Amino acid sequence: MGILVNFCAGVSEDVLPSNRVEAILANVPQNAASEKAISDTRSMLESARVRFFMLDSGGFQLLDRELKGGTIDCDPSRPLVYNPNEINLAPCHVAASGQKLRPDILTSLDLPVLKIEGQKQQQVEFMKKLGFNLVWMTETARLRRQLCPDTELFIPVQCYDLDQFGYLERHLSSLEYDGLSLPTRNLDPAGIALFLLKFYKMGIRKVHLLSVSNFSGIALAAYFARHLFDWFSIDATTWRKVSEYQDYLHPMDLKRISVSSNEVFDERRPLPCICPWCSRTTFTQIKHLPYTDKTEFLRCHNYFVIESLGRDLYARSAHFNSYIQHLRERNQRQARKVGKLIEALTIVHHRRDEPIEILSKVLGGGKL
Amino acid sequence: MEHLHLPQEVDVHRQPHLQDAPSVLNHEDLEEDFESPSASSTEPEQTVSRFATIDRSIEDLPVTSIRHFNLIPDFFHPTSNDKPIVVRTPEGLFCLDGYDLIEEARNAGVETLSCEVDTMAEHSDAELCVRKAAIRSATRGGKGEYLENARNARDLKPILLSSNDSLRDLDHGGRRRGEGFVANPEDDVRHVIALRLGKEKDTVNTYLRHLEYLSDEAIQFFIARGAKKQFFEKAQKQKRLLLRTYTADGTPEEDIMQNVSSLLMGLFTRQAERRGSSRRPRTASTSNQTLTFNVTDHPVEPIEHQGDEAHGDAEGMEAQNPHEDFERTAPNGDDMEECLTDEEDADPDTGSVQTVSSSIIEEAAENVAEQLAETYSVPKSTESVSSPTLKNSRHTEAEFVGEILQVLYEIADRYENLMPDISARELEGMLLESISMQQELVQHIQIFRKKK
Repeated sequence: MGILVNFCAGVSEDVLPSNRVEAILANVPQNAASEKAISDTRSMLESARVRFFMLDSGGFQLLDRELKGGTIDCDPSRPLVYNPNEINLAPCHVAASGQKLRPDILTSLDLPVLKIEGQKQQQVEFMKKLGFNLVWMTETARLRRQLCPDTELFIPVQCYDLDQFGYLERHLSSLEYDGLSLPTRNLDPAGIALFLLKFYKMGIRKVHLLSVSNFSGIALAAYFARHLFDWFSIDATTWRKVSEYQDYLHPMDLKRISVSSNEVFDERRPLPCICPWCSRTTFTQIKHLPYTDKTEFLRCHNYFVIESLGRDLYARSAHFNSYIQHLRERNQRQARKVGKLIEALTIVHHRRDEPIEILSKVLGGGKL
Repeated sequence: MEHLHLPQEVDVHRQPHLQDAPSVLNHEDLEEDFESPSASSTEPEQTVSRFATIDRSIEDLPVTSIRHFNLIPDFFHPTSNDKPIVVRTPEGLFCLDGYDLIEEARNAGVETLSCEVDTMAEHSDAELCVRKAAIRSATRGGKGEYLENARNARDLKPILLSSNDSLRDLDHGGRRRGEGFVANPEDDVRHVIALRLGKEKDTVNTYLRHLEYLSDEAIQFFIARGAKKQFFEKAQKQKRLLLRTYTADGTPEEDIMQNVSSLLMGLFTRQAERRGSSRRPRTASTSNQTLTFNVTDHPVEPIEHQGDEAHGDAEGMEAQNPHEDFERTAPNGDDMEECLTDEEDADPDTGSVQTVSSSIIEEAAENVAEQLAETYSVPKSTESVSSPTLKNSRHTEAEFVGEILQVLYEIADRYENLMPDISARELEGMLLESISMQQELVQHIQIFRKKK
């Protein structure tokens, strides 16, 4: 039985969602591009009294620049640059940032594959990024050993399917690393489950899922943390983003409830949450808060419910049958989605020791 | 006995050139009258509130028959009107503003006093509350302090919520009466308050937020010192941080109120000290003076809170999150907060500048100022920096020092009034450069003094 850790991402000291945050994920471009940024990050970590600190390399920021335009460079002879027009990020910057900020976990530099459909297009995209990813993971692993040997290294898996993962797997065997991190933007629950089973069979015991804070993702993470891995972490900025859109997350299934100023609530409808923030207010009062105060309130509440959901599902995942039943009852709104998740988890639970080729087939190649 | 009747129709709301005391002239009604030829077809029974003013006059009233209406407290400053404002209802005469004039008359043994009298056909405490709360917004009795208007808005809320009168009857009474009601008392009450105080709904919401967790004592403190909206906007960030901690810790409401009140009073006092204001404490008769320091009767030390982190320097007002812009597409919170169009309140968003090392700058400024003051026995900020009491032999020097001090206070002021278009880095550099220049000057003066 392992642990489930929910990293709070996209955070700064001013927008901490509580006076204590168990785990924070920062990233190199935003949190280590200058002495000031490093000092602010340290101050934030101290304020939040974090137990776990993870430093992401900044793959997402590279992807963001790729999509929005701007200069992308990876010149180790130049300093780390991160501004709206340019990003210069190389493995040496990542390892040096790890040395300065001393995270528990450092992610190796990666160039994310885009979210695209079509096997052919995905293959081309994978090939385009493969070279960068192989070189950068090798370099980051080497520099990590030199500069921050006490920090664990997680390597992001940038591919679309298990066939592509084979190329990475062969290379990984020659590297020193502690865990793998898996981007989920291109995968269904069955696809994630298939990758996780593959990692499990490789002997990997520590996994991080990137950008997960929906009901299905958390439910899946809770199961895998409980039954297959020693360490299972997830992260997301959802708690903050939905707050900025004035959305209140329902504690049962994370359904979004708009509390923007033009909504009208039935005052007889109580707040469905027991968090310390909700105990003092009503929907209408939340709605009437000035924007900044409302966003602050929602950040605190939304983070609380995402965290609580993870803890609750993890606790319930010990007994598989009652867990499955609970998932069904808890989220009837997304019955179809939850049904697919349950199907995938049932296969994992009962057939995990079968060969990966068979599991791949029964899991529909990652798409049920 | 003087008894002047103003020429006026019974339904004052149909008279766009007259302002129904004390509600607000409704420009929408005006526009509609002008633009819409069908406007006159509106049925009168839908437009006249039960509590509309049916008559307005100036009358000599027996002072003993006028009752002090204090469900809403009297304004701190005396009315600027030369007559008390009285409402006549079937239950009697109620003074809404200028009760001090009535008391004066009583004390002087005067039997009657000329008053402005509005007459209502029906009595409603809630309506009288609304009128009294709005009386300074509608400028009939002068201008209320920011927090006074805010407090009145807050106090109106429970009064209106518990009133037996229909909220629609407390509407402004214009032809669009009934618009904006959504059958949710919490929403409708805010709607009525906004309408009747002549404020945007957002302004009312901000009022309520700024007052949250302020004790009556603190409210009185701020009213007496004329604290402006800008102060509360800046202090709101500190308050948010405190509330985050207290809420997470489950701190009792009374403790939160005590600590938030102390924090804000402390911030205000220190801000005033930093500015070195030489102005005297506010009294009701010095209505246009702004704040001062060293005058509080209340404890102003911020009470230590339980989780002592995440609060930072209490002086470091609303600096914005340096990473707030990352990955976000929603509008900026502080920008939204500043979108208030209330005439009394509009000001640039000082909070939008990022990460200025305020404490370093302020401490440096204070240190230099103290150093100077000590070296040259220059009167401190309570007195004029160019005090003529200094001896001739040091007069020039003192003037020089005075100028330096002046610059230092300007630096502090500049910090206070940061414009959003100056980048944080630029501003910080600018201020540090200024301070460093002043420090050099101090050294030169010290060398000069030693040589002498």
